[in-house]
Amino acid sequence: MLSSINLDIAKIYMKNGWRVVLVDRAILFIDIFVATGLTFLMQMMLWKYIYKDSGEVAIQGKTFSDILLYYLYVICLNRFNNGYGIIEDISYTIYSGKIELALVKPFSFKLQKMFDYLGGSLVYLPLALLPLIIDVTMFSNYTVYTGLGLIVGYLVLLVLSQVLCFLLAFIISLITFKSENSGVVLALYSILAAFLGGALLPANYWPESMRLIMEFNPFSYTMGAISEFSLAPSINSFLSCLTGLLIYICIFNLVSNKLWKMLTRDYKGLGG
Amino acid sequence: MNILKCKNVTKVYKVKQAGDSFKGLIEGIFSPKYEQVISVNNIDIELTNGTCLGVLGTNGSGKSTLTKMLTGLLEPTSGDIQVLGHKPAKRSRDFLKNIGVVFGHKSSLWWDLPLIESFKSQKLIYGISQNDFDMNLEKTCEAFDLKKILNRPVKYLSLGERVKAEISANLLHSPKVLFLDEPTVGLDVVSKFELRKFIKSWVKQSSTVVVLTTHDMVDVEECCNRVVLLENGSNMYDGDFKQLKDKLIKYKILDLKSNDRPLVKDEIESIFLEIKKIDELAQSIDLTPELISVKIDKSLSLKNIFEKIEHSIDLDINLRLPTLEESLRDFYLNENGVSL
Repeated sequence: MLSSINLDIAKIYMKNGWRVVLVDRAILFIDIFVATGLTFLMQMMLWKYIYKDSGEVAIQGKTFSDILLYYLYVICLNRFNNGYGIIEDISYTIYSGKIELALVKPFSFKLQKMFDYLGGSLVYLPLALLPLIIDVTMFSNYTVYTGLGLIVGYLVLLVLSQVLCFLLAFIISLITFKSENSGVVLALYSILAAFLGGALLPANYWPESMRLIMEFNPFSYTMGAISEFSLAPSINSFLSCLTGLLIYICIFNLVSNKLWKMLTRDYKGLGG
Repeated sequence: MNILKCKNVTKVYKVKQAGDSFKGLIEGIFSPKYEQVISVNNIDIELTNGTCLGVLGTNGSGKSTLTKMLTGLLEPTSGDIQVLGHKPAKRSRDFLKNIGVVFGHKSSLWWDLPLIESFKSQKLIYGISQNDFDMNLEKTCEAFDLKKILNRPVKYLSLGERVKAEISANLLHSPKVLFLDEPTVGLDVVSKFELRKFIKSWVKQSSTVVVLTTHDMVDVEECCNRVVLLENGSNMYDGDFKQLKDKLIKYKILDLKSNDRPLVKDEIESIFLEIKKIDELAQSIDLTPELISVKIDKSLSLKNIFEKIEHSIDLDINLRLPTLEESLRDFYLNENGVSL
């Protein structure tokens, strides 16, 4: 994949993707203040009640401030690593037949969409950095070494999680080649991301039998796993998260290429 | 040298048959039945530099399927296609960099961004040098009067402006083959005129190959020096546009209008009988008080008619050839003995 990337073309797609997101200020406002801010507020009220009611200082090893920080990370990452827009875009492109125009460009459709997505995500980068800033400045008493490790590690995982999120969304959006209803595809992504990503509950809050799935599924590496690393930064948790991300990126890159080849080969196109 | 070559190209689609009953629907899920539809049947085409090929045909005649196979969007079921020495279905970078594709009803421009951003993207995607970019942009902007809208977001452009911008974007990299699929669809007469004028001059100047798929006969008449006529996926005619016209036009249309007042029934009948005396095979198209319109032998002239029609009513007489559209309609409907 990387061999065919022309940086200039990548830059123009990123720039255009970034500008397209900025054009829609209303969505930007809803995303940042309503979808992110209000969701966090609701989680805060809910967990305050749970902690107060149970009288526990820590539940599953997490104190009230730990859980608040966890949700701050997860909710902001949920917005940053959001495949909804790209699925909506690709599904529409396939469904309307506009994909034919993208296929006759001398630049891979997948890369067109990936850089477009990465560019659009840059707008939300401050939001993804917000929990890190709050964590480092207000919540934790890290040594300089650990603090720097957390910042560098978080940034590395952030970039890789974007690529993984894109690949997951790309693969799911390809269902549109076979499905009549792109709404189903969007719903499928939203459910999987919320349920498996860790936005519902931290992985270790699930029953023992489900913990393995909740911890090591691909969606968790776009949100939950990065949040867990940030809460307790260590070289081991960083390497574990990095390895998971890299393995999934490799697997899903191969899967998406195979699927793409298979589906475009069978593509009959729309009528004239 | 052949720029584009199709040999025995056929495209067969497998179309899933939908069950018409509940049982049929359930069966369709577990053991679907397919019907084979021949969309393009054994087509041979060879094009050299400077050719503007018009592909004519009714809906479902295989025009778009042929264009999609030529651009690499679809793979032929059998036969061989070579465009610029490449097999289009492989969609190699070198092939894609040298073609331009415009689908009149689809836009590849960045919808929310100013038009110039789409052009700048094309520059990088196709690796166009700054000089060529400036020169081609200037040329197309001048031809289509786009300068004033370059900084306007694409979503605020009119349909005509968008189509012109789409064509401009596809000309910036000076493609060796340009595919235009119904580029004038939905355009007003002025935009159509500008577009046709530009395509014509561009083919002449750049001596490239243009494949123009259209329903509009005037597009073909104005721009193309060769025509392919498709019907049910088969090539019914391949050659000069003038010869096609001669072959298709089998009659003339005689229109008579009263200058004084609407005609009464007896008058209409008597005039029609007089025409029948000149050409006993004459066929009526319209016999109304306002207009008598009759198909007559194409060898007859206005002089023959003036000499032989005698009556006291002041009539406007007009003898014309049917439009190509009318002739093609006869051909497709297999009427009036029009065949190729």
